[in-house]
Amino acid sequence: MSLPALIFVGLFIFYPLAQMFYLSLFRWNFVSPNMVFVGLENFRRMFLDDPVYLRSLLNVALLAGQSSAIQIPIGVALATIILRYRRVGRLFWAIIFLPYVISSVAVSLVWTWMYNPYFGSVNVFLRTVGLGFLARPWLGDINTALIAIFGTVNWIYIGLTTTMTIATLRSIPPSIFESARIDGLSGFQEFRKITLPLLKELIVVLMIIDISGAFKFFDLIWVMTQGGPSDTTHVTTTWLYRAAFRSSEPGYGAAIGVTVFVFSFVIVQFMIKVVRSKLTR
Amino acid sequence: MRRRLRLVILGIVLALISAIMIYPLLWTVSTSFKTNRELFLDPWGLPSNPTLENYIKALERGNMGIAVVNSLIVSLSSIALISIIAPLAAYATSRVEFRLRTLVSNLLIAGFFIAPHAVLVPLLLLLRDLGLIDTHLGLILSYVGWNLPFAILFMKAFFVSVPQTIQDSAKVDGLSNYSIYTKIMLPLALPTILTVAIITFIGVWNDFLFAFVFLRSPSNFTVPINLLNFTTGRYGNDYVAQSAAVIISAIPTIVLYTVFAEKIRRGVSFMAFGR
Repeated sequence: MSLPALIFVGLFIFYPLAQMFYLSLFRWNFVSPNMVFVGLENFRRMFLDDPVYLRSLLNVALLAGQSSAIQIPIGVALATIILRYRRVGRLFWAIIFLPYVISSVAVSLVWTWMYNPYFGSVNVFLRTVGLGFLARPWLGDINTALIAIFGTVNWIYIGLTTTMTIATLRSIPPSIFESARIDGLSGFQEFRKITLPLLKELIVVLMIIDISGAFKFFDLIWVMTQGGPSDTTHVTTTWLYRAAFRSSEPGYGAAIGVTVFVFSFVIVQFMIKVVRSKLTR
Repeated sequence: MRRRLRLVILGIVLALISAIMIYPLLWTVSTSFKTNRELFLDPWGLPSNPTLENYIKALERGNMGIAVVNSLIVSLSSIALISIIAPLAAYATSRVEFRLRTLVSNLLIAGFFIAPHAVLVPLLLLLRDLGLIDTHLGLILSYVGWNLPFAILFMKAFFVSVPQTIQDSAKVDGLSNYSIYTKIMLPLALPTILTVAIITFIGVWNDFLFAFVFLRSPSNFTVPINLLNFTTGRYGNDYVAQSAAVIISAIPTIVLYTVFAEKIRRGVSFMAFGR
């Protein structure tokens, strides 16, 4: 009964995965009949001779780090508010989750326009409030491109973080909150004494999602900057795409793929195992 | 008094956040009814002469009409296949005893933790060997393969929650595993299958990566890649027509979200606990 699923998963996930490891040992250009075996040369080049690759790893780390640092506290705060003031909360929740259901290409285009030097709302706003000297081509400026992208990332994912937090908080029986209120705990005390400890596991899970998510990042950067200006906003997957399909080096692209797989899959699995054993101790 | 003040401040903060979240979308809607001249002269103003011209341009010259049809074909075929294959595999791996069950179960789910980006090169070569590059079929099969792990994980959580006694009494009545599945489990699972189908539809409708790498000809383009193509080609500076294209691309998922908000949020938050 599970045979059809196994065939699909085997053919489209595991077979390419195995071939990725094989291809990563070759130099090739997609069309030439002879692939040149180069051993681990692709990996040497990546870590010793490819500053953009290393920069992309740094960007992935920054992306995951800032996502956790900004979205988790705000998401937890918003979730608590939504659950406390249910009527207003419902509408508010619907609004903040909305960007998540729209395609990342559409959302990236909208934000490219927000950051547009001429008609973009960010600059128009700055000029209106008398801060015109701060106006700039946000995505074209080497100092602000990455920050502008992070702003969009948080705008998209804050609703998701909040939603996951709400799902966790809902799994807590309401009687706990009732007895806390009878005991005279204030909103903040209630949050610190009851909610926060129960959120610990969720926070770890969200961090894992942020890490693996940062390695799955592609659309937004490709649409907004294509990795520019001066290759400063590449993430590992956009650099993989450029290497494999624009520079026609599938072997090198596969080797970058190996590192994406190792970093995201293996590290995340390790974290899940370690964290789980720690939490269920 | 202090309580009142706190509520007012809270209200202001929530209103401000809502404004930041909704403003870029409203701006795009407004822009989609303007002319390019208006956009540059008064980027914040409302359209003085609202016109549907941008939408017509996006659908016809922007190829969005064809792209919407392509996306519907690809998305609906993908969810149809997944809705048949995933529940079957989820039921088998959670409720039927067989050798290597744990291994099979783990293999089916492992893909949920793998970034498809990593295998772009070999996946493209596979489709090339199968003669499926630049075809909807190749795209559909890839979407099915890569969306099955989540679908199976989600369906398994449901089948595990069905009381064992239902299955046991059916066994006593002499039903085979297959008839238990079709006669008892499948009807029970329908709401869960609907959730999986909606989540997968949104994911496939919005997917850019596979379409970007596997498709070549504009007549085959799905919505997201066509959207990008529209902004880089001959109409690269026609921002108001592009705005209309963005709104067109977002309408189906926003409608689904309005109707199935609860299901969608539940399915999505499952990703946090499914592991």
